[in-house]
Amino acid sequence: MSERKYTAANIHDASGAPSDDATHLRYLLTAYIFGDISRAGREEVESHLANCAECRAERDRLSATLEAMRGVFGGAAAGADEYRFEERRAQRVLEMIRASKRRRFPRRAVFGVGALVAALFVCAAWVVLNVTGGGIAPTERLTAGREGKQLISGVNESAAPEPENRRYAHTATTLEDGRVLIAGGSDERSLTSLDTGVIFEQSVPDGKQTAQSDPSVRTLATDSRVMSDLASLQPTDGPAFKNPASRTESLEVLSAAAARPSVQLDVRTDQIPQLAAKDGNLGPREPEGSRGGKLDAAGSSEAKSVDSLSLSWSSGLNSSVGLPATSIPPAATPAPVQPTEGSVAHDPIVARAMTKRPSSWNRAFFPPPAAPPAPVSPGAPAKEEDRSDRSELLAQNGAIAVGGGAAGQNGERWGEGRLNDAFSEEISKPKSRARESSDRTAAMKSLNEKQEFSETVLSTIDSLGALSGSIVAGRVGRLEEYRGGVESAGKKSESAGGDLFHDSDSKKEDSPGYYGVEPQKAKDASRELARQLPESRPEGTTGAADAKELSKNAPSRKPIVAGFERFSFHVSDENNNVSFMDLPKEAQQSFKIGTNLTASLTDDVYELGVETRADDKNQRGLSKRSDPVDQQRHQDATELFLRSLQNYQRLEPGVEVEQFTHRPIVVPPPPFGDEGLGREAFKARYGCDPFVDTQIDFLSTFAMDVDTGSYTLARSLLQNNQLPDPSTVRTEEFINYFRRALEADPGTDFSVFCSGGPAPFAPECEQLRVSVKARELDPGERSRTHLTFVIDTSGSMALEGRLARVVESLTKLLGALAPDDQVALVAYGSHAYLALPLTPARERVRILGAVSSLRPRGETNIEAGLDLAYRIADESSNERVLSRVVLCSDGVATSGAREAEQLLAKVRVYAERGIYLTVVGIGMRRYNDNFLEQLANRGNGNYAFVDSAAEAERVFVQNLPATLEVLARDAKIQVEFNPDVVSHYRLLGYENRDIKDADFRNDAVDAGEVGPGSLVTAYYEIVRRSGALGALGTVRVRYHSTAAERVEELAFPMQPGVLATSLAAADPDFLFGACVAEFAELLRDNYWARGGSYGQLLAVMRRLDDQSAPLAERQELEDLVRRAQQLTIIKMLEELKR
Amino acid sequence: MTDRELLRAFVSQSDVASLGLFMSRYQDSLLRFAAKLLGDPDAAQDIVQEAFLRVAKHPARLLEVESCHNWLLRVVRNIGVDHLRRRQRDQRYRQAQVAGAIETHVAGTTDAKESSTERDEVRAQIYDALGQLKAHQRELFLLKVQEEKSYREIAEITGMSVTNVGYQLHQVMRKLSTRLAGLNPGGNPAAREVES
Repeated sequence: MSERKYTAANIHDASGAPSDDATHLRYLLTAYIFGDISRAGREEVESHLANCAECRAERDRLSATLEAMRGVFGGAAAGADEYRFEERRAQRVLEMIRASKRRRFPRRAVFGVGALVAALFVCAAWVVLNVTGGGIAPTERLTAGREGKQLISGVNESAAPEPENRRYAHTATTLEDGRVLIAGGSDERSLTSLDTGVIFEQSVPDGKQTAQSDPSVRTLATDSRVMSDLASLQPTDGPAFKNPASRTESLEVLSAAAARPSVQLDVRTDQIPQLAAKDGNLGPREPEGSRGGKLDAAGSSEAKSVDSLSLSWSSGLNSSVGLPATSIPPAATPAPVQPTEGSVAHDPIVARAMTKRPSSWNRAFFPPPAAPPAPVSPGAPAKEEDRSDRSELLAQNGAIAVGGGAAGQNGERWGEGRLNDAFSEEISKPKSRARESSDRTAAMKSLNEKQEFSETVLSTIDSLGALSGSIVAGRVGRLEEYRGGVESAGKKSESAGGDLFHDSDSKKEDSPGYYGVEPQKAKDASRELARQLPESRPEGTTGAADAKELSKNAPSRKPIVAGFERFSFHVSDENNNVSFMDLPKEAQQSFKIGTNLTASLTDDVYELGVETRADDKNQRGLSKRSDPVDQQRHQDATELFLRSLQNYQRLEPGVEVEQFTHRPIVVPPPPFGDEGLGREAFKARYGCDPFVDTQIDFLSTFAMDVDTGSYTLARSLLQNNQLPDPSTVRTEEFINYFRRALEADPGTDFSVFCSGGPAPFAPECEQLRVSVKARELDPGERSRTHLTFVIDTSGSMALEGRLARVVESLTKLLGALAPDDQVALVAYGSHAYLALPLTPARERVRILGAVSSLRPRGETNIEAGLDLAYRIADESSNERVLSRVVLCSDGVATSGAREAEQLLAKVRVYAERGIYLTVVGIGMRRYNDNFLEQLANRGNGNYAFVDSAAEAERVFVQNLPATLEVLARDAKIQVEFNPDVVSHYRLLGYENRDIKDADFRNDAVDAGEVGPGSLVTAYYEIVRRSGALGALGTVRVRYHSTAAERVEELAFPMQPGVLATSLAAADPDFLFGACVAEFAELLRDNYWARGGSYGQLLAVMRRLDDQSAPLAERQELEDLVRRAQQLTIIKMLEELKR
Repeated sequence: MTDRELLRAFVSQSDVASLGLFMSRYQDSLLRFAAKLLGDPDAAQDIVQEAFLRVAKHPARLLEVESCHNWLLRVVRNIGVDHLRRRQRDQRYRQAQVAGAIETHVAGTTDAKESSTERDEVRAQIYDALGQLKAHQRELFLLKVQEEKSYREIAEITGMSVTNVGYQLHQVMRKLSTRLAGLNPGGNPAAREVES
């Protein structure tokens, strides 16, 4: 192809100035030195080179460069040895594949019967429907080719009529039943995700033709005349490929597919014109009577000449969320109404709960605990009622309601108009669908789950409702608030409200709509509309005019959502703050299909999958939002939407985005308790503590933990736009990071402070904060210290200046040590060596010299390093000296004892001999957080993570010297709740620090080591019995005092007065801590935070004032939350994509 | 067994071992590509792993493609591009590569250390130049020079047009030649590199 272009004549530029021709020549030159050039091109270049010294010089330069590059990158030089795919990863892949295969079988067996029933049912329906004959295929799962074969794919760049630079891909795929699918999609990446497609039915009468035996395929492929004929037959605005270029491309793909000998393309030439003809019919509507049966007409008339050629337009929602390859007859036959998910609203229990504690739902923006939605059975009318009922219900309770509607206006983009029609057909002429049921049987079998089948029906019903333009207004929830929101958001949002139509400039008036009528009216309207649907509708509006007509009766309000063109939802919280979101069609499709979604994040712009035209005055995408408030609202709404979906999927795993957007969403927050699993099983499954019933266990026991590494690590990652791994997020370390200057009683080793109030993120319960503060050390109490630093100098420490950070930190530390304290340096890479024997801190120059001599090299033999360091420390340790080993590493053990247990055991042994291990994590990417934390835990030491100069200062200068000293060993906290007052409690975090209640007084159990002045804070979510008075309980601290050399136990009662009655009255510092805790819980994707969202968190944080925390801390946290929100949205979108 | 046979065994008989064999034929090459594309060997491991998982979901597709290697490269590339988009920190590429080169060098045979110092310098310069390219250009470069794909194949893998591939590669080569010439005014780094 390139050659064709380059062989343009006259590539010389007479004047020598750069010209197009000259540029072409240069491309050609590059291709020439690569040797990737046609003969004509080669001759051309060579003849030019002969005359042009300048180009010869250029050639020499380029080829020298290429040689150099080849030396490094090419073939053998590319260092095959350096790049080995790790064996364990290969094994892991295979394991996962094996596991997924294993998992499938039982399911098949279980659902086999269901599938059979479903298949029979559908087959029967087919037989019935066959009577009238017709050509519309149901929507087809484009991935039906899972077992089918992909023949070829092609990518057509910039063929799209709409946004520039969008690419469309086309594939030809044989489906399971042998038909051929030509599909196009807007995602060049993933050919599994396709917008639209044409299916060639190959059920020719003799049924035996195959590509190999059918010469006409060859004709198609090789005869360019045929090709051009085909092209000319395509009506210009055939909706399949509106753009001529893309049409041609498709044909090329088709022909290329046919040209390959290995390809089985069962398309016969005479079918292609039929496709074209059909396209014509599917194009923009004729003004009159062309609707209703148009497809039919096409289908059946063509069927005379071709052998039952039929055409199926996959809806935009196809590939990932599409219906299985089945027809939808059941939908057309009204089925008896069965209890639907909507009926949850009428559930007496729920109703009671509603009236009882409406505010408690706000946590999730969802109604209260309710049975998971039952699979919905067919029954379109009932469903609609339910939906609107539900929506009203939701509207009353500040729930999220999501609506999407369709009135596909135009066929402007592939297939939607048609899709709409096809579905309308389904409505208006249920019995006109007919196909050969035998062909379908195979496809039926793919319905191997009964549930999936009902989902199919369900989504079809939804699609019907949606596509026909009969939208239940109640779905949008609180329209009033919504309007208010739009208005208050000012002009911009106003235009958002008004400019919902894709083609807003010309067609606003005609656009089908989703009207802001009152629920009842809308319901009436939709019924009316449904009734009218079978009648013909005017051109291009597809029901819009009807809807509009009807809506005239409604108060004059602006159309809110243009049906299928837009996807919209809004959310209102308890204070009627409304955030609202609508996405242009492209983004809507992204949600549905999982294609062309370009969620990305840069430092200042939040971009979410919306490709806008540069020339679009009303840029509708999220990408161009400059108003931060506006952007934040969108972000909040997006997050809520995705979280709702996620939660919903937990209850009903089969649910797809498409279905979700068409259904009211009711997701209960998790009920208190442990799901009947018991505490241990619950913890094992969800990784966090359940709500514990005080009747069963009123004691909460855990070891004191003053680590903060988890927070710093998360911060560091977030600031680099990465989400921390949920397993590395420890709520207690987040909370403990933010230290408060509480005034401890100097007369006792520990003081306890309690505060609390309504839980800001779970209004159904209260939150209690228990802070345990250790006393400060008197001056002169401090003992002499020997610090043995173990510095990781492996190659990975060269990254990101990790080693430099260590050097810098040590330098700082020297200033904070007493002159008599001694420092030793052990460095380890592949091997360990002593870089500096124990040296008094006053010999600063000597120490710094050793420190700065460290160079990164080799592997990470953490074991060798620790061994040597312990030996040094052990040799010098004695009664009066505090000996500490400080490990500074990025935590990647690449050689030595990789088995963590082995190393941990070693650390434990030395800890028992009084040599504690403090661990400082450095760096980020290969950072092995959990391992380092465990090391520190076992070593009775602290663990901190350094990601910035400020943090180095904090850790090495402020904390390290203070934490070297140990005030209390094996310190444990036990909170005893009064079962008469508190019915349930849940401890946030401290999962790794859990201690059995019975072991509280067992002094042999290893617990936390606490330095002077440390502060340990725990947050509980508690549920109080109504009307119960009396103390909440008692906090006990038990520890081994290093000064007194004995075990002590302190008890502090918790008075009910510590709980504020309202958020406004609550301790601001407590509120800030609650925000921090919620942040951690969200990052962990904690079970109990399922109803929460970053948006909600930000809303609460905005209300905090200076009393809660210093501005800098709040700003930092807010920034992190915002980043986490964006990243989470992106993550969830990416999951959807898959 | 040919790739095709291995894949068929996997598809029809769920023979995971044969998929393993299939993977082992491509994994290192894919890793090398991913590592150089991202400048991050660790992330590359993840990406190759992810690519295989994706491929294993739809193994039948591989049976239909002309070249498994190209198809896999395409998958790796797509995942890699996503990754890069997320990361958006190209300057890290350079650091990581240079550091990686040093690490490899240091950890490598100590005997060869002296003689390969110069070579490493050139390497570092080349990585440096490469790191300054835009990600999509780097990708083209790697496909062309390292993987030795034709323009046409590159177009298929990246989804660009052949013409655009030609144009971009031309830009890449020009940039690289300028950069390397500037770094080494006294001599041609290429020549030395090749000799060594």
